[in-house]
Amino acid sequence: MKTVLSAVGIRKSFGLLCVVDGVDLTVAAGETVALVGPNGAGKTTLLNVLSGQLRATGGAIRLCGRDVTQRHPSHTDRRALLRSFQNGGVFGKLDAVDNVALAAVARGVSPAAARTAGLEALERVGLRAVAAKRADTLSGGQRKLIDFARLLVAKPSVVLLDEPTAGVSPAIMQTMRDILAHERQRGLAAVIVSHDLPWIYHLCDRVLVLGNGRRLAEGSPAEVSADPRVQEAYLV
Amino acid sequence: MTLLAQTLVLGVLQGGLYALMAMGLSLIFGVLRAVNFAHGEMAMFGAYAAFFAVSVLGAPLPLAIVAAGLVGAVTGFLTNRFILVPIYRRRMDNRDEFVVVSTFMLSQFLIAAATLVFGTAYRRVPGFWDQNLRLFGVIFLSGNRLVAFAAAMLAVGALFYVVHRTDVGRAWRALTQNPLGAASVGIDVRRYADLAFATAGALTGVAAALMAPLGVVYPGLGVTVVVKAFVVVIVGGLGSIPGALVAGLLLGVVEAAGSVFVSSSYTEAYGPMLMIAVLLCRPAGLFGLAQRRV
Repeated sequence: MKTVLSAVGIRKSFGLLCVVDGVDLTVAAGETVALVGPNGAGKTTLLNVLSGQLRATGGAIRLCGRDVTQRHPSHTDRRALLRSFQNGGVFGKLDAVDNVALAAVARGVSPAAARTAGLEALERVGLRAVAAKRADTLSGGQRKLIDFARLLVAKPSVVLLDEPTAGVSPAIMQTMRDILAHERQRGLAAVIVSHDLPWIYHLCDRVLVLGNGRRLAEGSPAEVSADPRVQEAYLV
Repeated sequence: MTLLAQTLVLGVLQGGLYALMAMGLSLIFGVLRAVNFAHGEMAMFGAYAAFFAVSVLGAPLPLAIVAAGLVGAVTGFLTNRFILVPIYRRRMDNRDEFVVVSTFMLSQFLIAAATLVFGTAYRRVPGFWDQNLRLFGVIFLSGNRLVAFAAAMLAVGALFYVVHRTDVGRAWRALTQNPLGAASVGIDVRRYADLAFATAGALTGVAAALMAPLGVVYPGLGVTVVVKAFVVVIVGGLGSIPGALVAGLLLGVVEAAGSVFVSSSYTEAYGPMLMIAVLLCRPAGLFGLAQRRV
């Protein structure tokens, strides 16, 4: 399978504090990688570096063959990547449909077509009824579904999801799983940070466990679950 | 009672121009979190553009206002491209401080350059409608102020339309509300920053051209403009465009009322006093959000 995201030797330091220390991560088209580990392991920081929100202190990131290590998140070379935030990345004062359509407009889709695509995406995630509502009036779970609707209209090659299931109902979790399963058929690569191990293990091909900013273990869900280092640092 | 009505009308007419002058500053702060101390110089160049369009090229005043808007837009665009983009490209941690210092130095440079090129003479722009009008038989106002106010409100209306009804406006609002989220969605921050600066420059240039017949054009004009614009933006709430409209009108009324009922010697002091009073009651301004980063 074609590699869409490749990160080699990623380091991120804040002064003397090294939060991510030499992590390698390669994701192929259609592959889903779970990024797990204890709180403070550097998972979100790694996502921030991969998506360009933070500048890497060391290492190199290639997205669809292009070096994007120093690229701003909004740079055109990064359009193939979409990410969600733990606390939601919605624009509270915009309608739900505008929140979704902007992801298409940013990729050169005409405003009318973007709005139509936005409505269709909201239909798929079950939010069609609240399309005209301001995003800050939506529930936490509905706001997280906005990220999935954006995923449907933006059609990125790779998506980085930070705790998508935190605080959401089982029904919404199922919707998220269905969308990810469907999108991976068209080749979507995904890196998902989650503490909901049953949910993420059911979905992923591979698990990367971080501990203190370093790679602790990597392998199938069964392999990492059985790894004593993972059990000591995270599972027990 | 007549005096009160007269004062209110004068204040609102002047306040409309203050609002237009400040909207660009608010737009730029909202979209980029950048404080542009060279804002006044977009007004200064706009006013000179109007002056030269009328006095040298013999253009009619409406065309001179368009010229002022264009020159203001180009000044704004170039300010972003040559001053802010190099700072943002380095992605430094303390970029806000660099933006403040750089735009302040740019402001001083542009004032000095304008003094060298245009001289220190006060220039006058002819009026739109040199007629004194009487409303309801008791309220007097100049035709020039009325035309300037009407044009300013048209420009404000156009900006509101763009902000709330177009995708450019939605992208600006997205950047204002959640810059990280906007960049992650793929919104091209540089493109929308260019547009915000050009729009801010155009609005400020138009405001300066509308005010030019009511005063004089000189290289230091922008200093007065930027002080008023800051008062308006802080009172209205940093980054809030409706806030800039309300605060602009309020500043106009407070200045007019202070000048009439207290003393006209302190006209320039009423604005800062209003700002201090509002900040004591609402530190984020009338329409500012408490969590908005300052």
